[in-house]
Amino acid sequence: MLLEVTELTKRFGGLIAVNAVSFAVAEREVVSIVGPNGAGKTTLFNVITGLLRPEAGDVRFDGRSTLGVAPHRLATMGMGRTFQNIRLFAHLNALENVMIARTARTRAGVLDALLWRDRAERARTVEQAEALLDWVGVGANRFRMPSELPYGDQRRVEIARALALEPRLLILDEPTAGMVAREAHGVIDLIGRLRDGGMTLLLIEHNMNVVMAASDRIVVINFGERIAEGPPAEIRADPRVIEAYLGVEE
Amino acid sequence: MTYAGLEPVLIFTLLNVVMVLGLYVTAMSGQLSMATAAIAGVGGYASAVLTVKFGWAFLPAILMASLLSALVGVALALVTLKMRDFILKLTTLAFGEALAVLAFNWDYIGGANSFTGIGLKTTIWTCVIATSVALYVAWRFDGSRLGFAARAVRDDPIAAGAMGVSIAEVRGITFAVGGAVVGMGGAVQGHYMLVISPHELGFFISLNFIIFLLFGGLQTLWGPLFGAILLTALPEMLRFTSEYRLILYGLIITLVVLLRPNGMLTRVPTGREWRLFGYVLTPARPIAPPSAGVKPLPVAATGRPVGQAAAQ
Ligand SMILES: Nc1ncnc2c1ncn2[C@@H]1O[C@H](COP(=O)(O)OP(=O)(O)O)[C@@H](O)[C@H]1O
Ligand SMILES: [Mg+2]
Repeated sequence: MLLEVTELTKRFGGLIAVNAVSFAVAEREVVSIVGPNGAGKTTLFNVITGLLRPEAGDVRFDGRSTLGVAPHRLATMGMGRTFQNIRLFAHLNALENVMIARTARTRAGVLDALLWRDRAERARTVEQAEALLDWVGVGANRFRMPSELPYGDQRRVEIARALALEPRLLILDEPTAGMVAREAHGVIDLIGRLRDGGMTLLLIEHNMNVVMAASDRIVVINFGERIAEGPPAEIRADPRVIEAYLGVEE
Repeated sequence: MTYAGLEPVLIFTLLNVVMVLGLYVTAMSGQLSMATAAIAGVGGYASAVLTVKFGWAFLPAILMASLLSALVGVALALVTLKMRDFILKLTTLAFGEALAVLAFNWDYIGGANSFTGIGLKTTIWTCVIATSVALYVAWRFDGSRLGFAARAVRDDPIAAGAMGVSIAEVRGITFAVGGAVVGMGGAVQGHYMLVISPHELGFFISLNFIIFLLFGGLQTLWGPLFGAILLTALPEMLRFTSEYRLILYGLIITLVVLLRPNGMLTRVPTGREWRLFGYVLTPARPIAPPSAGVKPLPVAATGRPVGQAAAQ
């Protein structure tokens, strides 16, 4: 298993945001986490990516425990992510945003910069960032600042940035949140292409049609607890899921 | 004004440029240091001690002073690593004041009586060379891998970390490089002033550099360069209205801060054209045509070579 989450618990004061949640993601698998707002999905992602420390439980990435490992180390180990509320670097343009994620994959130090020994590496970084932006469909807008881009394009840049890490696992937190239908369709199409490209995905997504179509497995969370896990067909028919999501049908 | 009258102004302008470029590099990772004058003082005292007490030559003394200032810069970076906003500024301020108090009480370097008897080594040309070195270092670092990583940390430390950038490494490096530049400036200044007193390490001197930086703009190195030159030269140019000089000076800065909160100059991002008063100086890079058809992922998914993943 590429990612193994066991009995993970995260509290905020008295609130148990994540309560003994377990699941795993195998290589090349697409796993979706679904659940109502406030269920603890983002908190779960933040613990996995090292931004929050859990009170109990364990996260293993590629067999190694990630507890206490700094976020930038986890990123370097191959955990790429996007944020529910897009977090691009506001004073860097799209191209430079993507180039940042190559920092950990390149070497040039201060001395190399002073002695002009970093030019070949930088040219390659620019090339790779441009190829990625082209692949996500923002090639023509690669010199724009994040604030000059429509929301859908900002998300594409954020995905390209995470891809520049050469991630082994790509974690997407509500990639279509707040988008108009046309933008959302573009991003959903992009997720399909990632899946077809062999990328291992861990996804939070509210659009159930997308989740059902794209996922190999679905984990359902409610009030911080895992209430169901299984392939889409099973989840669709699970009465606990229908209850949590749609309210009890009389 | 004769050249003899102008030379001190030129020298101080150049020295201010060196200091503010060091502060610019330091601030690239988001920690606005209030200890610039103190770091410069480390350079000044170090070079003074090495030349006067140990008989070192000027150049090696400057290099060693630079190195020591870089180390003190790294110490400051480590102390303030997890700090933000108000607490951060207060801590850098306290760090600088602590160095001033140390200098005040350390008899070996003159204590309250200042360090006197420093040899006159600095000429206008020394300052021109020091400024060129500072500009070169700031310019090369500005566009480097670590320079951009520093900007990312300044914009959003959490996102930068999630993209594999080590905040500690980047902050340590900007404080080291910035400290080295500031320390060089302090050393060169010491051999012009011939006296260093603990007062010169104080916060009010540091504040000048912060004003130059914020006035010129901290996104591009041309900002602090412009800010330091204009704001050092401006008071001299405004001499004729000496009574109202400070008021006018304050008014200009207030206007700039209100009208251009990001400073006078802004950065030209990669690929965009450079413009001056509407004239295009360098053409932008061509916009790529939208790619057609399905392409394989241009990075290796799950660590496998490109293309292999898509083939399965
Ligand atoms: N940093 C925090 N401090 C305190 N409470 C938090 C914090 N982050 C999230 N929470 C709480 O934890 C619960 C789960 O939130 P979240 O993980 O964002 O839910 P989801 O992403 O499923 O909508 C919510 O009740 C939220 O208010
Ligand atoms: Mg959420």
